[in-house]
Amino acid sequence: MRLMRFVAVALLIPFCVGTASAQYVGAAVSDGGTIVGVVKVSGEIPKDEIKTVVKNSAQCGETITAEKYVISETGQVRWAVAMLEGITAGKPLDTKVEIMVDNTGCRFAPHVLVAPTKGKLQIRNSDAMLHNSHFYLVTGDKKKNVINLALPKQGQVLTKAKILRKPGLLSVQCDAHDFMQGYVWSLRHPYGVVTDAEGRFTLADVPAGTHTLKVWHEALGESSTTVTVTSGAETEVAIEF
Amino acid sequence: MRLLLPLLILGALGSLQAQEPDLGTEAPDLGTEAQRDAGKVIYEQKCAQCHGAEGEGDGDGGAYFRPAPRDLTSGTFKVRTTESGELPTDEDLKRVIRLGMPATGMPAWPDFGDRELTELVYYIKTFSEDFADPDMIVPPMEIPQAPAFTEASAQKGRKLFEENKCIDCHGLYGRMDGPSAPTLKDDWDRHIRPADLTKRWTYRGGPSREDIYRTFTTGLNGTPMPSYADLLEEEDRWNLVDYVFSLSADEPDYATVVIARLMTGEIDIEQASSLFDSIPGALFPMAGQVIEPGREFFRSIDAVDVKAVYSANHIAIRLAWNDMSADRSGHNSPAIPVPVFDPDAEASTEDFSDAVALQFPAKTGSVLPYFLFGDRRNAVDIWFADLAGDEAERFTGRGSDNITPEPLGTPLVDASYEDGEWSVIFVQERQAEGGSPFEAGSFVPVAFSLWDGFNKERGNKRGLSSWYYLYLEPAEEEWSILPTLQWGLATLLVQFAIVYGVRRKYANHAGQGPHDRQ
Repeated sequence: MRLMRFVAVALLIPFCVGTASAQYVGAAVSDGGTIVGVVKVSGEIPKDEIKTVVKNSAQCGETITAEKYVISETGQVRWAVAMLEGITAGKPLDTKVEIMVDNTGCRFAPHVLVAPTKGKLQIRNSDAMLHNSHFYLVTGDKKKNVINLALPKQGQVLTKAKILRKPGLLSVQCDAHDFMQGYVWSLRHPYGVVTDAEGRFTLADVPAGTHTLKVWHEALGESSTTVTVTSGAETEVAIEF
Repeated sequence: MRLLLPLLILGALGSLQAQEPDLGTEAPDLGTEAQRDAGKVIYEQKCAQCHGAEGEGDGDGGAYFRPAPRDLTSGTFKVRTTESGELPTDEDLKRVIRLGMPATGMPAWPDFGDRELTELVYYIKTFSEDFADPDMIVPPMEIPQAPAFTEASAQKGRKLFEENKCIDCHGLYGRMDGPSAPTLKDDWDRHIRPADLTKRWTYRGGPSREDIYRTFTTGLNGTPMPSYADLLEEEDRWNLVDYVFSLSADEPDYATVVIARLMTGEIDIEQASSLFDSIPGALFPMAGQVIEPGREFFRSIDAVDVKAVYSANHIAIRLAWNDMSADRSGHNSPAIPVPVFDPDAEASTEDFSDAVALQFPAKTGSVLPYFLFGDRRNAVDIWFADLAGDEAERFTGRGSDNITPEPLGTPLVDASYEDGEWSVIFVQERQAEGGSPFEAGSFVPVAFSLWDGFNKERGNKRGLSSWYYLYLEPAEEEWSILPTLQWGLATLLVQFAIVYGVRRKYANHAGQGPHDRQ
């Protein structure tokens, strides 16, 4: 009997761990509201970095913009990610959605994207050259190797589940072209989105109540705001770096 | 009990659903507390000096090694039987400890018993929490038995080596000269070089064909070496293995003597490279200069191949080595001062050019000069070539802080860089002023120095060898086979005579035989 109890506890451990780490419960949201926002910089607008193409410049050009500061004349910031933090219930997360990072013209396209944790990420090479997609999970100033895939041929597509095994910020680099840099936010809830060319973002079907909205940008950093969402209404926010 | 059963099933289902089919299929095995404690004792005695007390790869010894000691908290390990990015298995970790990491500061620990290895591995696994995370534990992959090596397979492999862009880093002949090589970095943003595939004994993952298969299938975590797991058919994999395998000898076969052969006619520097085609090379190991200020703990050139010929008046010596890049910008000299310890020089990789030097005792005598550019009493004759230019220089060395240019008797030099290999030929008079003569039949002490400009090597910060010998094979010896041949022929003639005699005798008997019987 004691043995049975031990076995039961042992078997339950992964279950408990599993539910503890899942944290997010998805269901249709009927009383939801929408968060509409814009990400801006105040003061001087930083210029995008120009990187020298040291290899395959015949195909990719002599220089390439880093897409680090894609900011409009009025200060609206593209390639920022707006996401809710600590949300445990809301609309279902679609892990079947096809999400792709393309290696094209010696850059990762899109430069930044949001993907569901435990979803499958596709990696494509559209260039006629060797790329390798080297993913790291970034925490603070530490980066941890996740996977490093060779893509030697044009048109090659690889699909890997393990890239999105854990939630968090993934940095993707190409060792063959050290100037290439992309980002993927792995989120275990569907409330995350990349800002558009006007720095705007929309998070729909957010359960009514108070939420923490985090905005991340690769160079500008992070900012957190408390947002109160009312059923059937739009809540406007402006994030300034 | 009745309550337990559905719970059990639920629990099992829950844990299954939470996992991807290829993820987290194994349970973590962290050993017992007693095992981890025993492992800790071993770790603190044998490992912490380099890997650090907390496993962060920051032990005191670490500063002197490149590749640097592994940060064991990272969960990132090069040699594994698991997929790219995954944790190694316990067996993988044990293997690396037992066999060491070739050509790095990580020695082999063959004397650990399996119990000690197990304890040590359990302790090492405490440094990264991933080892306790069921999500992160994956099964190893099977490495199939290698089919027999064939030349045809290696030929197919060469094509695959090009098509799959292995050449982008390793270069077509595996000499690290791919266009991507100079910009490669590891996970800690330290410069890292591709493996020199012409030296199988330095492969981190091991030299066997199964090892090569595993390395490009799983990739090397923490390095730019990616995984080719999803890209190649089984047969192609072995073809690729066989091409890589064909690029290297089994063993380094280091020499102690370079044999210079006598050639007829004169040596023409313009045509010199063709002189060495049919001559076997002598390979010498190169070490970093770590004795005097300007220490080079991270020398990048690990061996030099040397050939020599001589004529009535000249001697020609060819040095060849693999180099990731031909660094022809900047300048170099054996006399450039270098700070006492200079691990991260502020200089750029373009400030200093590649360079090479030969060193001989300035005088024939019984006392060898100190091998670091001579000493006060015993000078050395230095033939130096800054590969940014096309002229040699000559120096007299009386210690590395006392190197003076020697204006007379400068040797000629011819240098070329092709497919990742430098080939530098010095031609000098055998009786040059200010140097010891190169007499036929004599052993002349010689030592080598190499500077890798990319590595900011200059002055005393260099790769070097200790003293070896250059032997000028005398003319007579080339014909030494003649007396042997003569004796051999004479013996053969005597043998024929005996055989003839015996046969004649036997023939007479045979002729008489029937009569005897009658």
